[in-house]
Amino acid sequence: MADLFASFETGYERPSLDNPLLFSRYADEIAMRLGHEYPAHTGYRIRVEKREKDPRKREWRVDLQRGWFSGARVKIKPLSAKPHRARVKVEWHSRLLEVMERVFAYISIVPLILLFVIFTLATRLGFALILTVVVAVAWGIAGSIVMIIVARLLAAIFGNEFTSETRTALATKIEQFPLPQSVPASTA
Amino acid sequence: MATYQELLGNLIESEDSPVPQRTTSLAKPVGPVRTKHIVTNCAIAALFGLIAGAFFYYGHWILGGVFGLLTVLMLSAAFSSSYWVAACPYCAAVFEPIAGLSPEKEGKVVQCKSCFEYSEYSSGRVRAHDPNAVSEVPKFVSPVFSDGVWPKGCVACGAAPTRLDEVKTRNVSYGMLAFGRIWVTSGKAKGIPYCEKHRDAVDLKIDQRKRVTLEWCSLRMMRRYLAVNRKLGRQPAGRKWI
Repeated sequence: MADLFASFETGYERPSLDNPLLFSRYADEIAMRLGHEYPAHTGYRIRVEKREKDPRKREWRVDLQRGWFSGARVKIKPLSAKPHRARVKVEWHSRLLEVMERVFAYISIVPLILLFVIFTLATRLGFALILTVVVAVAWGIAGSIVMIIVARLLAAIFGNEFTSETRTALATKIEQFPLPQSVPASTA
Repeated sequence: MATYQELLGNLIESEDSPVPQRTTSLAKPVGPVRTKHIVTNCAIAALFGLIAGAFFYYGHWILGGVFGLLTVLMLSAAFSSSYWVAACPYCAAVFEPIAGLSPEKEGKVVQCKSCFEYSEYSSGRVRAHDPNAVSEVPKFVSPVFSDGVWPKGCVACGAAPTRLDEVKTRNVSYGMLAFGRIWVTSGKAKGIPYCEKHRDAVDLKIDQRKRVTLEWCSLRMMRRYLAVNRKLGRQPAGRKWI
């Protein structure tokens, strides 16, 4: 059952090399089914993002957005101790927040590089790296808080369709979607 | 630089190496195993003790206290009676006391430092781990062999390879950062055979001792890699560059 944080655990019985492929198909399946529920002609936008490059950091995201200020993100993330199981979370998200995050990341690069150069001139390379990382983390945390506040405020002003209750209901609905089971024929 | 055809030609036909049926029992470390454990831990404790003493001498009470605590912990670990050992079902080498074997840890998987084979503690005995075990993320560790060769089969499933990938790694020494230096170690493995379906089933890692290791999703293919390189008399690369 979906918990208070609009999330649930799902997955397969045992480890298999096919499980990441099946989780990827699960994300496609969620997007397809949400597409029926929230059709594009009514203003919804559904997008699947697959982060599969690093096997230890695999994550599949299904973004469901309406306009710039309201939306939800379905995150499928394998559990680190049991990667054949995954936690599915339905989080609040918006297109504006996404754009702000991207812009913030890009505009932060130049000052951080400059800071690293200044630190390098003032101290040793290793200390410069540590200091830059500390500043970058602090800057990132502060920036994230500000961006979330701005995005949430604008969502509250212009209408937030994906409230906590909606997301919990969405998580409950997604939990009903069957996990893909058809494993492609193994040649092992 | 080797061409694709040359790399393809380097793949060696191999079969699964046999899995022993023998099982071994847990025991308390005695004799040379216990002596080695005590000496190693006492040596580390002595080192920490020296560092702690130096910090105390110069009035750095917090750092001195931290290293003093580490000294006490290492000494207690040296003479602790909570450690268990067992013989490896493959090569009969003794697992290190710090491998974590214990009668309470049902399902504990350990790797032999001598033969690199995996064993599992279950139902009161240490037995060979399921040779067909797989993991979604690379977790089965093998050494990288000098002039090593790859078995002719996808490193994930053993199917006929259709492409050869490469994997790179980079490791920053955090210990050196504390001294204001950046020490980056990098490695690369190429010619890794994959079928059409799989990718990223092998990862390259550099551990804290600067040893280059391979991490596998498939235990079966890791064992094939070990077998084929041993058969050709290759030696683990250790700290050498690939």
